[in-house]
Amino acid sequence: MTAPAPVPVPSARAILTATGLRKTFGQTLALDHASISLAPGEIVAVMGPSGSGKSTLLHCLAGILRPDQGSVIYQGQDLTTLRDAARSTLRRTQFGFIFQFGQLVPELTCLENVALPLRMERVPRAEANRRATEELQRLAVEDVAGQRPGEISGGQGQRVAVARALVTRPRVIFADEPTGALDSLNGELVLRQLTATARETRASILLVTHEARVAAYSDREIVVRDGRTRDPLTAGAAA
Amino acid sequence: MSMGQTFLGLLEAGPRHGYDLKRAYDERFSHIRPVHFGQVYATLARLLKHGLVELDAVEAGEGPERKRYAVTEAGVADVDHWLARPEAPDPYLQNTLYTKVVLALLTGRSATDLLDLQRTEHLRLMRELTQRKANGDLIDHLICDHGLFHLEADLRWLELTAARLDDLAATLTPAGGTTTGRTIRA
Amino acid sequence: MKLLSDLRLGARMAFSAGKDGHLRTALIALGTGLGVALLLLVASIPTALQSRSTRTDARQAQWADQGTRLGETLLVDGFGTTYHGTSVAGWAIWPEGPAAPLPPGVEALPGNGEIVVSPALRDLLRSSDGRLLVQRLGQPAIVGTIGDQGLLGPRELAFYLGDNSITSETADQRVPAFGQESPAEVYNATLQLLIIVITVVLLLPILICQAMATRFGGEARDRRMAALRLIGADRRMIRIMAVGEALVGAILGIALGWLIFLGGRQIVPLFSLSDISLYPSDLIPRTDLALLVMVLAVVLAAAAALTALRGVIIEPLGVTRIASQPRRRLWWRLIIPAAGLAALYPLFEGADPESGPPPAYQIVAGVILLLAGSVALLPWLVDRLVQALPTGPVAWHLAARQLRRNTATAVRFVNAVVIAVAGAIGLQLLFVAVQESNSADTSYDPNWATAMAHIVPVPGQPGNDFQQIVAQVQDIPGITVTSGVRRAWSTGDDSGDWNVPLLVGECADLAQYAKLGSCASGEVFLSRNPSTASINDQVGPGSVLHLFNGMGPEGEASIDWTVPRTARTVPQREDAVTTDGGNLSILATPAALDVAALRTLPIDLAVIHDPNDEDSLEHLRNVVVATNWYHSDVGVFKDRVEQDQFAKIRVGLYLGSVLTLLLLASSLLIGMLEQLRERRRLLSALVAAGARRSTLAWSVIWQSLIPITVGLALAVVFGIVLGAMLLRIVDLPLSVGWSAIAWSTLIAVGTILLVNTISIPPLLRLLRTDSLRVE
Repeated sequence: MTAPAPVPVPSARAILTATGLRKTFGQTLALDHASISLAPGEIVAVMGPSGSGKSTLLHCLAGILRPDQGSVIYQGQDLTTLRDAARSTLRRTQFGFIFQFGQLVPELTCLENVALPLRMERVPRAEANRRATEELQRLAVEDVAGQRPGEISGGQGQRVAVARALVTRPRVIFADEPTGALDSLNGELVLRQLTATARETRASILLVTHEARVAAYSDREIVVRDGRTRDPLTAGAAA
Repeated sequence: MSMGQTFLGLLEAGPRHGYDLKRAYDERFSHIRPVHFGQVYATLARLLKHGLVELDAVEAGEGPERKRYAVTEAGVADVDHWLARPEAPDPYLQNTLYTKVVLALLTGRSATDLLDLQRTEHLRLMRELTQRKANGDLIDHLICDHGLFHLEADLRWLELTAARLDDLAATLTPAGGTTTGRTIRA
Repeated sequence: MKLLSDLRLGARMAFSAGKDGHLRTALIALGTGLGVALLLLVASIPTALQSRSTRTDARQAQWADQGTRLGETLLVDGFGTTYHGTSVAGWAIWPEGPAAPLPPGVEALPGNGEIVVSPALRDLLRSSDGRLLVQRLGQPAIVGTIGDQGLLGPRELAFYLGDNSITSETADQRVPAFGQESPAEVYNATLQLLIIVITVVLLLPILICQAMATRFGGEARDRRMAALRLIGADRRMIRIMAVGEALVGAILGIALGWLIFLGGRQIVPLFSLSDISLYPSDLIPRTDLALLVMVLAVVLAAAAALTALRGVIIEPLGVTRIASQPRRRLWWRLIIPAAGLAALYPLFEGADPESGPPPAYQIVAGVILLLAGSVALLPWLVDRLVQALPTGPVAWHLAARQLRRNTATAVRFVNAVVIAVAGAIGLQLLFVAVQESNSADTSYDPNWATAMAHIVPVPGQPGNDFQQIVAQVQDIPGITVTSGVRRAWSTGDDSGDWNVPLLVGECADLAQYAKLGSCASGEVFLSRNPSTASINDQVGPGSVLHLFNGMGPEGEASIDWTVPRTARTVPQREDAVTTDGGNLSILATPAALDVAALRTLPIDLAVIHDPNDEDSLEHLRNVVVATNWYHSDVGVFKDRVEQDQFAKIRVGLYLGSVLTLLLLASSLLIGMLEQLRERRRLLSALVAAGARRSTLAWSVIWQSLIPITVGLALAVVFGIVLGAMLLRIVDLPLSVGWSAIAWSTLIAVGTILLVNTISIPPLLRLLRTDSLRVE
């Protein structure tokens, strides 16, 4: 019954490393010398009060936002130098996303939503549907496959979102307050299934949350405060 | 405090030997409050005296005398009563942590580091509980959740404290106080 | 293919976008469909004209020449007439032998007193309405119908009447065969221009409506696209998907357009306009034009979808609007309509006959630019107005703020209405003017005559005496003869270089032609046109003239006559029909010359007919035809039937305006409800804060009424400019038909009020506090 010991990850082994990220929105400094590193299969929680820059850090790491300074290296490639199309391809093939809500396409059924990333990768329809169904089964929401996101509960919707994030077998899953809109029970269900599947497929998870109970599913945590990252271990060493 | 009622509750399932009772207790509650044999028998003796349990049978055998205890009606009523009575809210002021934080500030040490370290420690424990929950049954779930929510509440307090550190520093150090702290430290 | 699968995904969204999405797709399809149907109709005009001229050619008789053998010809006399305002094409025919040719569409030649008729004429003759026409034709027996290939249109009234009295000497033509290529008809340039302009004016609002419909649910679509961006769709894929979504509407629209066109084509034969009717099979869009129309529909839909995406950056995190609110400058907004006017300038100058009318694209560009100018000016004006208006109650204040914050959105929904109303006003003005010119341009005095019968009696036939004929006409109920004269011609020498008409009648009859002053039997007057300086100086008192009756070889008669010295020169009446258009005519009372010596003279009878009894004219025609159907006819000065036709066109235009506006109104309504939904949070928060619901309702209503009012004002101005320009095209003076403007505006106002009324209940429902719950 011992938890995996939180080990600092040497950057050579890391799948995703960001160093010295700086990002401003107008006058507001959202990130300032933020650094983070993610090992394959590792689940890292990013914690911090609201407005601290957690989400901005995630967006920079995922190649959604381009930082003003610093680099984001994914498997040897610097995302900050990639064009939009290349970053889109990475998001499609290597990354998975789970947000608080609203990431499902309301016009498509749940099955179609889950199959969508595969279809965008030109997987034939039958094959895509088969894999999507599997994923829905794994998350125990196969019974809502034919329904639209608007017709199901928040917990089911979030599990469908997890299924969609996992269906392409991404290397890194970005989850931003994935249980923020759910009650404790549903939140727990989603997190358990998400982390279990990630462990099974050796995917890394960057888990942005302000809730300790959610962060408890991680292997280690990074704290963001005023746009700066603090690794508690190094901070502790310094103290 | 409540060990008596806990034993009574466990006995409601059926009469047990003192030894079985300890095992049943350990299975469920030991992580909260470990219990020694001596304590078990002392408690049972007290319950017997108050008529809340009675001896079901005494088996002769090697070693210590083996008595089986059964709960009485008064005992069941006592459990009822206990469960029905709300606990006095525990102010749980984080006495130790509070003292630490205040001290750190007074002495010019980094309270943030202190809080971050504490959080890491809390989270370590929370990870353990989360892990246990994943492998355990329903009872484990309930117990772990209880612990998790408490720990989370601590952490929330920590976060809030961290956010207020600046305000706090201003309150605690009267004019020139900061300098004093630094002097002490130097 | 990647491209195809992205397109398909976009299309899939269009189908599964829920109730709102279906409505949007339906509106895009409807807008596209109406546009496509209209364009297909226009694309069919060349084919329709072609097939009409082919039919005309087929019916054209060939002339006999030396090669024509006797007995192989058909004798043909033209017998066109008019019945209840509709012209009837007719020929009296008689074969010269068994091998005589058959006119197209006729299976067997009619015998004497028999008739072969077009289906429309057959129906008319069999109905009680055709009673007088049957009589005019001599109660013929209908023995057959003319087939489609022998008719110009399904509603054409045409007949071939068998008549054994025609001889090769009197017949118009001896026809060896039918079918002759006539020189290609030079198509009326003015009509062409009008068709172009009408098409543009009708098409523009439809296009705008389609573009508007493409933007429906824009917010939802943007959010959806952002969700797709998140999971890795790049910008190109987003654009392709947006196009794919719009294509669904476009393709449905094209299909719908064809259905409307093919369906509408079937009812075309039921209508005839200016005696022209069309067969459905004549209306076939030219293949290249039809293809162009369909490509255009697809391209426009795609362009509208892409334009809707412009100004919006869809990033994975959501939607950013490029919120540049540029200062609204006036100058470029004025350049647009100015450029339109410049393009149309050649028309204002009354097209130079040397260079012909300006090319079509120039006119299209001019009209589009002119109408677009109104739309360009709208936001500027609304801006100015909102800033200039005094601050009023809270509702007004809220509306003004909202308008200033987002003029573009508020104005977008009004644009189509402005263009539709401006276009409608322009066309209405044109048709009002045309209608007025057709009814009022005749300077005839209706108290003098409403119709003129020219009767050429057959020489030597009994009952064709002048007095008898006048009495016969006088007896027709509803007809009053105001003047009856006999007509002869005079010439001074045998050169035939000139002749002057001589009218013989009693003083009262002659007084209708000139201001005689006093008149007694035996007097002669020289009536001259007071507005012309030059007159024939070879005719004057004392001139010796040669008079003749002009009846051709059989009835030829002439006498020599000296103009009496007492003949006075008198001014012609300007409101009278001189019938000869000449500057000089001689008016003589019967006692001044030996009328009998001239034997049979043509007769002019000026009559007034009862406008409420349309049969009176037909009776008159029957009498006139009975005297000599070949050379006699009746001219009507004020033809009420012609006016009715224009009135019909105008009603049709109003109907079109209403339909267009209803289409616009439905999109207006959807847009408004959508805006309401998006602002729901804010509105309910205001309600929660204690704002009265009526205040908020009024703010929403003001918000739509202000731009609409400004828009309608602009539409009136631009409509009048457009109308003025159209009137120049048809060379009519500008007259502003305020009633037409009022009607067009009222229809628009009605539509808008309807939209506002319909949107109030959902608004109030939205404002109920229980809708406050936050999702």
